[in-house]
Amino acid sequence: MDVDDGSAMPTDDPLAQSTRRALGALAAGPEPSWDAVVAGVRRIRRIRFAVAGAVVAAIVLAFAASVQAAGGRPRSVRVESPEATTSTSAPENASTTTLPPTTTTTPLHRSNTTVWNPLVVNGPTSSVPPGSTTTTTVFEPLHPNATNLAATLDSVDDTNMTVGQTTKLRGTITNIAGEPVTTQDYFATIAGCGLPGTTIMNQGYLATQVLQPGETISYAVDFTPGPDNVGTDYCTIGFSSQLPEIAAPTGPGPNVIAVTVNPATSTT
Amino acid sequence: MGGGSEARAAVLADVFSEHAKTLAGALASAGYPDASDAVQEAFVQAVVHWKSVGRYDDPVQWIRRVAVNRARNRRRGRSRQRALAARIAAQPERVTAPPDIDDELGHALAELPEQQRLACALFYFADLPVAQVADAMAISVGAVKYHLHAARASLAAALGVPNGR
Repeated sequence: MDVDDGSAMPTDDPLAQSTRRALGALAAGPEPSWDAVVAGVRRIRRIRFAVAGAVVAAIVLAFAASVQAAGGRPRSVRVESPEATTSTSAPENASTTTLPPTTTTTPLHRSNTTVWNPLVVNGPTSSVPPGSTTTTTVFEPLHPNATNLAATLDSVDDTNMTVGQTTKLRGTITNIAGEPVTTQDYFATIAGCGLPGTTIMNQGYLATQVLQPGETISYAVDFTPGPDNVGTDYCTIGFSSQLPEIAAPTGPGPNVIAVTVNPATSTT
Repeated sequence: MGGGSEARAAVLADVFSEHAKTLAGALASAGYPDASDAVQEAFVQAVVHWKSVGRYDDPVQWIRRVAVNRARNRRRGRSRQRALAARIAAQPERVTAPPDIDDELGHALAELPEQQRLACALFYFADLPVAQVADAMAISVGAVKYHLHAARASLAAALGVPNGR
């Protein structure tokens, strides 16, 4: 289609002049306006600012939502030393909750590091538009221990019992950690009674609950003494590690309530 | 228009007053609807992108090319709108009435193919050199000459005058 024969295009012959006149007649129309250009530039800049603002707002909202979903700060789970050790330690918050010494055996299969532990578990439910998918990432709550939970034993319904009789131990548990804590997991919260020098087994397992930071719950667990409990038992609440047991108190003290267990009367 | 851009706006305002009217007239005579809007849009883009456009050897050429492209887009958009409206209304397509043309040459120009008419408008109405017409139309110089030769031949035939060269 290229034609370049080197000849100059006629610009002033009669046909060119007529063409100019005809084109001039066809050129009628509104003249472009510089004010319209200025207005157009302003409009584009407004749109750009609005888009930039929307992007920034979306980023801020997404960040806020992620922080809120993570419970205010990144969640971590601290696990114990890989070396199996046995130690006896007293609870830290003795001013509000004094618990008896607890024998703690750390597991062999956990590393001594703080690890991110994201789990996709039962997250909050919400309506999801058809065709879309959502994934709720929830971090595993902390395991129960004296650092995360403050537990009290406030009362025992019946402190003079007979073997086979059932009473209730009542108290409260408060989350003193900055993030959710479960009452039962690899470690356990145990309320129960036992003779001094014995261990309180899983007779007093509390129901599994996840406490939000600052949340306090009341508990009531059953205690049904057996023949091995005859005598003066000491009831308390504590936290186990690995084995589902805590040491029975050796005597009276805070969060310790004595219960007299009498032998069952023989009918023979 | 913004603090730091006042100098650029002043430069472009001068360019606008010098070229915009002629360019809009050329596009209108080439049969493009809303030619003034197309030229204004081209200048808006020039202001917005002046940091780059201002470094070109001939920013006006860039503006001309953008204006031509905008005018073409607007014409295509209008054609689509008319076709859609005609389909929706199940009515024959209505064509916007062309401006009043009071002579045979005007009718002959209106009948020219788009490229030939645009080449004529830019060359004869805007008085642009062939090279700048080629740049504005994004085609080669030879192609511009081809379109101009063909247009002149058609116009000469319509008028019954010799295509004097």
